[in-house]
Amino acid sequence: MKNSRAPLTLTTLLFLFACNVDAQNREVVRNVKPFLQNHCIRCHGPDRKEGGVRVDELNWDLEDLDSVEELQNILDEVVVDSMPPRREPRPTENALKEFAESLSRHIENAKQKHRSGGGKPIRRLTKTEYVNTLYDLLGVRVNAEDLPRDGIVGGFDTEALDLYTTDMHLETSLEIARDTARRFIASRNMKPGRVELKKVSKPTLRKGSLVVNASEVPPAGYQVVRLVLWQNRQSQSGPIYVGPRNRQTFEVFGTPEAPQNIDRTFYDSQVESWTANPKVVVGEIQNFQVVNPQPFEFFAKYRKRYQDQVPDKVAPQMLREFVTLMGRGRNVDSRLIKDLQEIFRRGRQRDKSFWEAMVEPMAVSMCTLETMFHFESRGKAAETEFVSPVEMVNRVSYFLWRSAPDAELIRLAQSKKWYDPQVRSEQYRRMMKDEKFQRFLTDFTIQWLELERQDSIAVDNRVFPTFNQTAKESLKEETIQFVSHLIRENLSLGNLIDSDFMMVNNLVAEHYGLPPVAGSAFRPIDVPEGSGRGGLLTQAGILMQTGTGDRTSITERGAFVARKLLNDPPSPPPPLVDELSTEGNLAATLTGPNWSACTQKLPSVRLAIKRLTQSVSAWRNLMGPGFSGPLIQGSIQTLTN
Amino acid sequence: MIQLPLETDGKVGRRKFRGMEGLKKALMANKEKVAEAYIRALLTMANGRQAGVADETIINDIVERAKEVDFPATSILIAVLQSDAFKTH
Repeated sequence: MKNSRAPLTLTTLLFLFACNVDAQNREVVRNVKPFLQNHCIRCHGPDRKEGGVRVDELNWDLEDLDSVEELQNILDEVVVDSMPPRREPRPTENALKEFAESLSRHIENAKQKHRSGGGKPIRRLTKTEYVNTLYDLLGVRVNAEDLPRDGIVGGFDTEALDLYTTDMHLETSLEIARDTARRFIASRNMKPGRVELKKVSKPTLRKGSLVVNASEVPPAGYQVVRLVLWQNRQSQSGPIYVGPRNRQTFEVFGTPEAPQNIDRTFYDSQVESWTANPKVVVGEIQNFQVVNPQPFEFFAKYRKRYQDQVPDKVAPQMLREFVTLMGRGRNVDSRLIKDLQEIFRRGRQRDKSFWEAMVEPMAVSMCTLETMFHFESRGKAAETEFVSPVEMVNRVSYFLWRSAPDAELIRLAQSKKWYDPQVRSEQYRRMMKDEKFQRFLTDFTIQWLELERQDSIAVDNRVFPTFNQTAKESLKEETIQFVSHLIRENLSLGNLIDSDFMMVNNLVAEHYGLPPVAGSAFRPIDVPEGSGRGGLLTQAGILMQTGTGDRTSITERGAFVARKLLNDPPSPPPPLVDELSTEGNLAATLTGPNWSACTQKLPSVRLAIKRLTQSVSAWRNLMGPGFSGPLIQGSIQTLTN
Repeated sequence: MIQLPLETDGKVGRRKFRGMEGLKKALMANKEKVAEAYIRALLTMANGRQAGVADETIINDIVERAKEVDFPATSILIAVLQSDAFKTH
């Protein structure tokens, strides 16, 4: 501290105050500044500002997470030796070491300040969460397609930044909420649980198709239609599939002596036509049963007391109970009840029946801030950083079930039993045994591993004549089931890299040329000796999504390994890369600064271009084995550069 | 059709490998990286934002504890649920 003996002037004091740099930070800045001045500022300063980075405007505030993030990026670049670039004079080893150490210490201090994580942005429920919530609380299945899309492009749908709300969104939600309220009310006299229909119809053929008619779907809940069928005796060649047009994925293995049942679940009344298969006999189609969800207990006590003639004076109480249900354990705002009551009253004035007048207030309460958002009021807990038990069970439930907490969770939260670690552990286990946990497993796997990429890939049948298009959905499901199995059974994450089990159903086993298994349900099997399978990387769906449908992409494969298995996400490609064409001389389209930015940032692109430009046709012949072929060198090398 | 042999050499970090089996072995030597990626993904989904510098203490802490028992998937998931990331505003 050379200057510490100099008298502090008011200006220095003000300067220090303005910069908000404490003694520790000042030391860091003093240590790293010469390095930044000597090696960085020419390209990352007021003049050039390359890559949007300016080292003269860095913020050294430990509280500011964004700037800590930026400092971390700078440190990473220097540590892996990609900055300063090779054409620039090289810093001495000592200077490098000192710079890296000072900066790491600073970042470490910042991390210590944020031990509990970086907080949670307030966000709207995602489309999926909203649909699940209405289904779990009211038993009404809303078609997710009817809601506006969340603004998500890749990544997790829960990301708050993408979950904006527009007027159109609110309007559509209210429209859907009205329909939901109507269906909820229309179900008020239904008995909760399963109701057997036992209506059997002889299968009818229309234009060569079997008619599967679901005509008794309840307003809330669903109907099950059962097909009883078996294989025709004469046919013994290979597996036989039936199903709705374009989705013939049900394998038929029943015999006349032991017919097989296929159950179809319908949430909307509809007629499905199944392509008739001469090798299959459909004995009968049963309108099997109707399932009404439990939430109808909601109406039970009013039905008991008033039958269907509910007096107006009961409306406030009923609305309060409805808002409580939608509020997921939070305190009910009495002003909201008053407003809803007023809406009900005005409806009645316009000669609506009791139940018609209930639709609007119920719909409004499905669209309040508290219902549509993860709304965590601080309330009296302002002095503590911990959220209340009710908020906790909401967080946990929306995470593990992608939906609202159930009555048991809310009861534990409200009675404060949730504070007991034993109780919490039991609840986590219970939630993971519930069938709703599969929603998490499916959504997490799809979003983490970006499986939806598979939907947009059209496999070129000319290049891969043996690819089985009907297996495509099953290949995606294979990965979902694989990760689900891993998590359900508490297996080591190492299995993601390599495993001695794999998940197969009839179609997947056939695709891999494994001994046949019966049925479309997935099950774990031992990886056959010498098959090279096991782990994520050799799953056909993963290989497909890291390709383009007619060939593999070394960039995509390398990036997949880097992101998912090495936790080392590559930086986003420079703007021009998206426009790369696979025809003609690629190097010609990338020249000058673009070329250098491109190859510097993404060595894999350089590699890919080099290979492609050498000979496009030879390149393709390398792809002979198809999607099941092993990864090639280029995809892996990128990790090290 | 011309058939050319596949080039299956590569590197993970500084470690060289050959072929799919070699790649898997090389990745297995870095198993804690898969765990980091998994925890990061769980935190991102749960928090509604990209996991960043502020979450690293939590991630490293869980990885350290999970290492001794070979990174069991459910236990790690529960550790994330029990971390401060889930309990605080």
